Amino acid sequence: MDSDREAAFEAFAGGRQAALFRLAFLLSGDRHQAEDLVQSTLERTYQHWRRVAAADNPEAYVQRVLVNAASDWRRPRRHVVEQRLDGALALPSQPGGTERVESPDVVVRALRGLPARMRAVLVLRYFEGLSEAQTASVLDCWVGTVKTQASRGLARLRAAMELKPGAGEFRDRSTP
Amino acid sequence: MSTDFERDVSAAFHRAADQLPAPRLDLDAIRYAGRRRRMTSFTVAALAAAVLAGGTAAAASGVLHLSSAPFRAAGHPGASASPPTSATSSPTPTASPPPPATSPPTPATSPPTPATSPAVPAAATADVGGFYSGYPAAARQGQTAVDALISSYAASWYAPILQASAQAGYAPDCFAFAAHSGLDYAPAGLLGGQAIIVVSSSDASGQVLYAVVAADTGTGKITGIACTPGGQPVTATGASDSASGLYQKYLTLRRQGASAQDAVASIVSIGADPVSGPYLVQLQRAAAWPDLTYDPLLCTSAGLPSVSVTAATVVADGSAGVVELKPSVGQPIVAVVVLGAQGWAVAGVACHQP
Repeated sequence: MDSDREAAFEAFAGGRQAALFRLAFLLSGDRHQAEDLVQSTLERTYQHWRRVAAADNPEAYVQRVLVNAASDWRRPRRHVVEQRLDGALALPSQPGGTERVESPDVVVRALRGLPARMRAVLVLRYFEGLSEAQTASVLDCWVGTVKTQASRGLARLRAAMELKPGAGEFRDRSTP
Repeated sequence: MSTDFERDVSAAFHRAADQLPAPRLDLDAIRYAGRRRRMTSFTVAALAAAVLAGGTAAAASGVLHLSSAPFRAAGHPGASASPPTSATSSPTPTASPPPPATSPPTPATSPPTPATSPAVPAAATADVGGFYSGYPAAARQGQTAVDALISSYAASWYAPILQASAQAGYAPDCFAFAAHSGLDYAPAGLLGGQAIIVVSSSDASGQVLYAVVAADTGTGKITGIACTPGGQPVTATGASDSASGLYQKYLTLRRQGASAQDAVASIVSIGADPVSGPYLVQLQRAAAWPDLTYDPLLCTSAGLPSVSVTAATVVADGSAGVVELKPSVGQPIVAVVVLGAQGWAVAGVACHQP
């Protein structure tokens, strides 16, 4: 790769890494996995940089790589030993058993319980702010699929955490 | 049209993610891995063409390996291919320990050149190589020189444990220094946010010995060294069970009011119990040190978190299991589990900065 392309890639990676990391974190629910996802995504981007740089929307290309990588990574993790050693993982709770939605643990935990594709739709739509058409383009699926997945995903989020009327708060049903 | 719920979800996502600091970007590693992927693609394409032309499908098996598991494997002991070493932009140490009172001895021979890996930062491989190249001369000079070497290359929170181990007669490098002429370095990957590098050597009888070394990915400083002989049939399940067994016992004792030192001593005193191991014997000595201001098993100085095993993998040619444990508070912990004479044993625990 010539020096101009190297410089362009460096600028692109440097400028996008923070946003990619946040997207990866919401998709994976784990900071360390998110770091690895960003690394892997940028490796693939570098591998195909000539094509990425020439694309109309490099951003969408990289998002697609990241979303696909996050989906792929969930498969081997099914074999990972998940063993609780003692007690319950202590999540911050508020008096009365109510956890506000701004508690990152609550949001990340709820997202993590969704299927990878559904989570990707929700994150792209409501974190990245993509339209249904843009989300469909990133995920390489129909707009109708995005609508369905978003609707079902929101319903499952709502089911996992009860919306407290008028206050923008969720109540975690797992707490008494 | 957005509903209130959609707006709440959007705001919640931003609150969860926007607060996160961006990770450091290792562009050299990205470039190297990107080039390797490209070359691998060419290789696979060429092999596929050969298969189509000649019908020898077996030739293509096992060629393409794109690591995607949480543990980013990058090599194995004995791997001879050394990728190019990054010459620039090694991560800058951010929390180096204070300089030792005595300068570490200069190695008599040229330092080894550990293989680098896109997953393992160059700083980590350089630090591990520096420690091992300097150890023979330090060991010849005496304990003060060994302590100085450890202070230079080990993380400040791990150095007291390694120094206590050396003073107690354990070889902190896992090898008799005379065997250093033939060390082999294999960056194994990242686990729990720490770089894992396997150092191996053969003794006069041909027995392979391994040191599973963990290093801080930022500073490159060594955070743990665990020793094991080769040829042990370690499994990921056995390793994770052993690590969880140790932490169950340890947390139970700690929650009953035992100090870290007493809890370690109690587990060690069981003797034949498979969860006890050489590392705990080292800790039993180190925990008495005033320099050790944190719990060396829980990797924290505050409270008694719950701990969950989240990942386990096998390294060192199947002779060691590396287990990631996540405490409810704090950074992940990496435990190295081996099969000793009395069964499974935790041979090392590596902490991020407690």
